Amino acid sequence: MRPPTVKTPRFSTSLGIIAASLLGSALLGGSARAADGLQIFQEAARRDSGYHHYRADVTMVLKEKAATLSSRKLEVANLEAKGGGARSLIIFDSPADVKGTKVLTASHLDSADEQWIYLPAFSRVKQISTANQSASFMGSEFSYEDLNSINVLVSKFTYTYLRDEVADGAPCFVVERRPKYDNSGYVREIVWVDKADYVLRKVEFYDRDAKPFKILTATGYSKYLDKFLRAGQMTMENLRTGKSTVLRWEQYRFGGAGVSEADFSASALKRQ
Amino acid sequence: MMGCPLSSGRTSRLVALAAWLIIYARPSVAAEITWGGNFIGEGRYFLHGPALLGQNPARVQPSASGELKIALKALTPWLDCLANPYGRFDYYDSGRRIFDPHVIKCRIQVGKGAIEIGYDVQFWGVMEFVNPANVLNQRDLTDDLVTKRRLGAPMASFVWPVGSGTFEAYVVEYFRPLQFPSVEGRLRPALPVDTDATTYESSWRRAHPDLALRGTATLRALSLALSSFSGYSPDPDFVLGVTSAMAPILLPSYHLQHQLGLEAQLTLGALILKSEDVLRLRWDGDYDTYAVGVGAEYELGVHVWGDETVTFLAEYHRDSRPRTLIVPFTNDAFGGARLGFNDRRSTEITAWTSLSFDDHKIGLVAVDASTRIVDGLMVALGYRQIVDSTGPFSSIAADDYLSLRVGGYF
Repeated sequence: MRPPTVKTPRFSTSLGIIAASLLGSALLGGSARAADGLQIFQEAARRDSGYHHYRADVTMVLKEKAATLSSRKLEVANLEAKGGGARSLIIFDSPADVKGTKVLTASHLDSADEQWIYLPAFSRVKQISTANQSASFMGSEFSYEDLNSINVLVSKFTYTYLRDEVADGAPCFVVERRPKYDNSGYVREIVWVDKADYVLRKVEFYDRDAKPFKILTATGYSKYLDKFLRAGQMTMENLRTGKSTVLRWEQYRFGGAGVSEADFSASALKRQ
Repeated sequence: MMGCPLSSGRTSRLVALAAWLIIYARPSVAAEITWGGNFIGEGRYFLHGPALLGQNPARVQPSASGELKIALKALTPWLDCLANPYGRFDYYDSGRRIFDPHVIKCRIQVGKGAIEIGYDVQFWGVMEFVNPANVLNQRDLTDDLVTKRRLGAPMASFVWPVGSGTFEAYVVEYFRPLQFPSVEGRLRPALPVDTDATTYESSWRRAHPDLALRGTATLRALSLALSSFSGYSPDPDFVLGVTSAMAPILLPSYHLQHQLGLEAQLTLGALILKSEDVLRLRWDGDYDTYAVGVGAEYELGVHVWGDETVTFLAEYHRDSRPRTLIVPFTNDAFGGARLGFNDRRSTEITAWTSLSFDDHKIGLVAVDASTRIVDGLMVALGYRQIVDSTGPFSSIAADDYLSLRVGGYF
């Protein structure tokens, strides 16, 4: 059973401190802005820490203009790793020709990610290159990089606070972040972070030529375990092609006290 | 010539064991049953007429295959079961007709580890073209010229996680010999193979149990595996025999061996380096052999090609065994590329070739292209050219073919 959607609190003590800090920093130089941008994402990460493990069912709808081209079904699982970082597992359910295929990603704070794929037709687990994380995920407007950054690791980017702005009716911090890792498809991202909940409301992606590329909007947030906010829907619009992809997240299942990193290892891919 | 892979006695024992496990486990109402499968129709068009006596002259040879997958998850907190049988019917070549139980197993959780019992397939190895370490399951030789498809085998396995890897133990029963094309079939040895006259080194014949231990470790970008196998070599020796009509015929003979294996893969950004090596010690002391494989993959990302990605593959394979149609690559390099369009149709094109350093000739050329027409319907085109008409490929030199596969998935 899904918890009810939570009304966004309008203010909190920590938010007030950070907001005041940001107000002051608007008059300061670039380094202060960078520190503020970093602080915002550190606070977002702090608020989201401690979830340990969750699973969710995802429906991916591929659209061109107003028409729906096709849809895919996935199961996504995520585990907080010891010492920071995260492990995420994507299990493909449809289209039927890829049913049972799994992709495991180990994201580290201080080094490049690792990725494995399980191919059920051959009972084979293979470690694959993460150099292509900017490639399209299943022909959608999302890339592997976008999916990995849903549980973003703060140390993977540099930040610059830009301004305050309302997005989708919610007051937000607007922060520019630039990927520090190799092979990103983006040179920079402009992120709208909800001032009350520190969740992402909107992200504008700029390609390697610094041209506007894609826009992500996240809506329908619900609170789980009375603490962890997760979006019910994410929409990625491709500004070049006019195509879009909607991810509908359902049936979030938090907990799994017995789940460990051994369950999110390459050798476990065949067994799950 | 085709032996039944699954005797009725063993089938009933496996079914009885699975039924007992399920009844004993007292399934919970929360048990989840999922199912799926596919049906694939294939037509092969041979570019030349047959070169060997007895081969069917039809240039277009159709076949159909299908598999079913039924998973019973969380029957209890400690029991899952899976069935994934596979079958193929070839209109002309009875040697390509096959039924493979493939996977029919139950998994019992034991602490952090697991025991699996039933028919199963295990993939060992890191290479793309030849996997000498992959010794537990027999190859489906009639599937393709260089196939990754393996046939199921009755086995019990125990897997225990250790650190970043695993400790694994296997007992494999009822050895499955290679299945060859029939006399009427294409892509076969020059002489027919009489599988009814197959001999086995063990007095237990196919019932001789194969044993294996394997340890794996993943250290960030480095994946390692060490294995020890004791049992039948999946590749037979051949003895020349004669039929009652005094026609020459090949008689397969399977020998026992100890095999030590090493698999290693290092992933450095877009570059993957790998090696797969084995040492084989024959029980009969006849002669020991080794195989060494080294290779690399390099991925050119979307920044170079637009939305497409290109992966270059290069491998070298050395095997000290004699060069035959069963072991055709003994001093060969492989080179190829895979173009992924990263589109919603999952369109992909792969092309590769082999080069023998023994006679400095290209052996094979293969091209495959596949795409999804609509959800649940895939189409694939393939081309196989046997360039080297001498050496191990001499009997199949006239068997270049184009293939069209249409697969429905559910």
